[in-house]
Amino acid sequence: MNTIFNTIKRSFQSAGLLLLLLIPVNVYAQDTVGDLMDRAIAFGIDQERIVEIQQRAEARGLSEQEFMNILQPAIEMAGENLPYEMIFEKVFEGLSKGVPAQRMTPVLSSIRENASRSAQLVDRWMERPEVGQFVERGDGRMQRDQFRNEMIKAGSKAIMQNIDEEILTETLNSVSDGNMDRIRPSGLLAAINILSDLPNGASSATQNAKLVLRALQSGFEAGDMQKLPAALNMAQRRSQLPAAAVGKGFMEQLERGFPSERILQNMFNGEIGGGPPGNVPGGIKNNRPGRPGGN
Amino acid sequence: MKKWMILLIGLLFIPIDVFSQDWDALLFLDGRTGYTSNTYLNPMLSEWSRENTTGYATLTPIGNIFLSKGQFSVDLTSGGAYSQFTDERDAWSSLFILLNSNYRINERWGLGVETGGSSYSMQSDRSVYWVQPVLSFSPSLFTRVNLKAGSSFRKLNFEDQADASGFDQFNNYALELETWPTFRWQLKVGVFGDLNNPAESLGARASSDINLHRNWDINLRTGIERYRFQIMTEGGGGGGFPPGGNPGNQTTTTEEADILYRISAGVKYRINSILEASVSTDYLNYYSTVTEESVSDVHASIGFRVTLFNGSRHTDEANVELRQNAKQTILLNLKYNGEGHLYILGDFNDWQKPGISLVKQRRNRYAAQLSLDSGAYEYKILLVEGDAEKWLELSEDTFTVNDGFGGENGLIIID
Repeated sequence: MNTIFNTIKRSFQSAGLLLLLLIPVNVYAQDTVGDLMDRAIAFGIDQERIVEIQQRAEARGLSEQEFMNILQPAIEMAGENLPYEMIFEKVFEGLSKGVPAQRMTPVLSSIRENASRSAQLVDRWMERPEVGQFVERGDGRMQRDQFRNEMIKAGSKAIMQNIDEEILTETLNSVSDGNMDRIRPSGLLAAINILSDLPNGASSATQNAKLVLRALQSGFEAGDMQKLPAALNMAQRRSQLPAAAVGKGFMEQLERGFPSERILQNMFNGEIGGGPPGNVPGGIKNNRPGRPGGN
Repeated sequence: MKKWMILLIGLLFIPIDVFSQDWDALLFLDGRTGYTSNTYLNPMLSEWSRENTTGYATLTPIGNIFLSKGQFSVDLTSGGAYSQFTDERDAWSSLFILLNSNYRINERWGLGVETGGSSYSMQSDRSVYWVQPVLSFSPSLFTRVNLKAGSSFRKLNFEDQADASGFDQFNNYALELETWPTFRWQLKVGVFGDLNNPAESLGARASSDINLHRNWDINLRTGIERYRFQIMTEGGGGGGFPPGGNPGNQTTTTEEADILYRISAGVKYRINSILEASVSTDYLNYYSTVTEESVSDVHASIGFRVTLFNGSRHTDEANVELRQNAKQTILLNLKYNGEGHLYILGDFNDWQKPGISLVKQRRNRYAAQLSLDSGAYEYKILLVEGDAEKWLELSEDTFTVNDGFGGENGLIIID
């Protein structure tokens, strides 16, 4: 009798425990938009931003569940002190471009995941004292938190374009190991952004990382950096040389200390190579007979 | 001969169609006015005439297109020149086409063909065609050596002097070196001559282009050209006169060489991305080894060059140029050929349509000024035509990032 009682008691206890475990899952599944917004606000997300997204989502005909799906990654990022504005920007962009919610969701998940990976390496790098001095040097207008967020965004985009995290880490470490006097925060941001756009992209990432590092140390600013992919790609087309050879030639020029503007201009002009035009006989003639071209 | 010209042009276009994958095109108008004591000094006239010292004005539209696919590339240049003179001579006009094709065998070696033709209409009609295979060697990215050998053909036609008309073939060779000793200095040197008489016809030229400061360039050129001839003179018949002179029916052969020395200097100033001004001076000395005649000629000119088109594949794409000033504002200039209103929108305005309007500056140029906080912003250009909206693709020269949705966004980075 006692055994039967104990069995029944244990069964009830197990069922109770199971019920307790199920409660939060059930509660989460039934999260309302209001609950989600409360959590977002609790994590410090501006309420007006959420309302703005909600209104635009409604205007585009998104369901409540779809709205919650696009809000969820931003809340998770806010909870991990990641730049959740990336999600909002992508959502606004997607809504403006008419991208269906089901196509937006995986992109947002990917941003959330890559931002997390990017933040790990950026935060480690920013702990270095020389980086702290670089950010606080004051010649750029970006504050430390903003610079961190922008670097995480840039790193996240690079990872999304298959740039290896190890190469990103090495690039950042090489930047801080070297002379940072001529580097501006915006130039560094641009350098990370262009990594995947240089000739051969991710497959030449190590070589490209060295190239942007050298360009940064030579005083390339953000605007110069952004012109670099097109300039190198055109130089490669014009010279018909492998990307590595063009990159090598570019680095040789940097080592000689030429200003970025001139280097880019020459690459665009395709002046590397060329040569004298085909020879056209001058057509000398005079009145003496017997001479070629003569009368 | 015109049929040949048409055929040549037709043949030149065949490989372009086959090979073209990427292209860059340039169209510009060159204007020049000056004074010359020998039209040979003007590269666009390039015809020996020192009969009248004259002032001139020449207008030269020139187009260039570069096509490439894999290791093949084709560089085609074509244009015309029209010259008016201040003396009584009639205007000169010409057409020309040059086609250089190249196959990159490996990182150091290349093989190609340079070919082209020109046709002049002046006191006489002159047509020149040439073809020469080229072997190139690049010991480094900034140095190249070319070895060329080929033939050129010249046809002269005088309407009123049939006996002066004729057809000549020249077999030429050239060895050229182009290098960049520093990034501001381009140096070209070359030797060239006649394959039938390589040593005695040997000539040389050297040119140097130096960037003095941002928009200022100077160029210096020098060269020596030698033209060696055998002049055959037939003696008079019947024993000749005076007595003791040459026996009758004897041919006298005289060796003669014309030697031309030239030196020139010029300055170019780029006023902006489409307009360039230049001044140049040239000096030429002609010396004949037989007559020991020595004459000097000079040429001075001022000119301008307007770039009418400079673009690449996908001409319907928008080409965006960004410039930041010190007040955290971005000046955006956009080149677009098409109708409708253009707007820019992006992260800076939460992609709110229609966005910030771009103001039309002139025919295909638009501009906007954006005041932004420091950071990076993705953007896109929206074209609105009536009720229709279209996102413009950005050109290859505009830096873009993947938008994650299968498209590309531009990127603004501001300090």
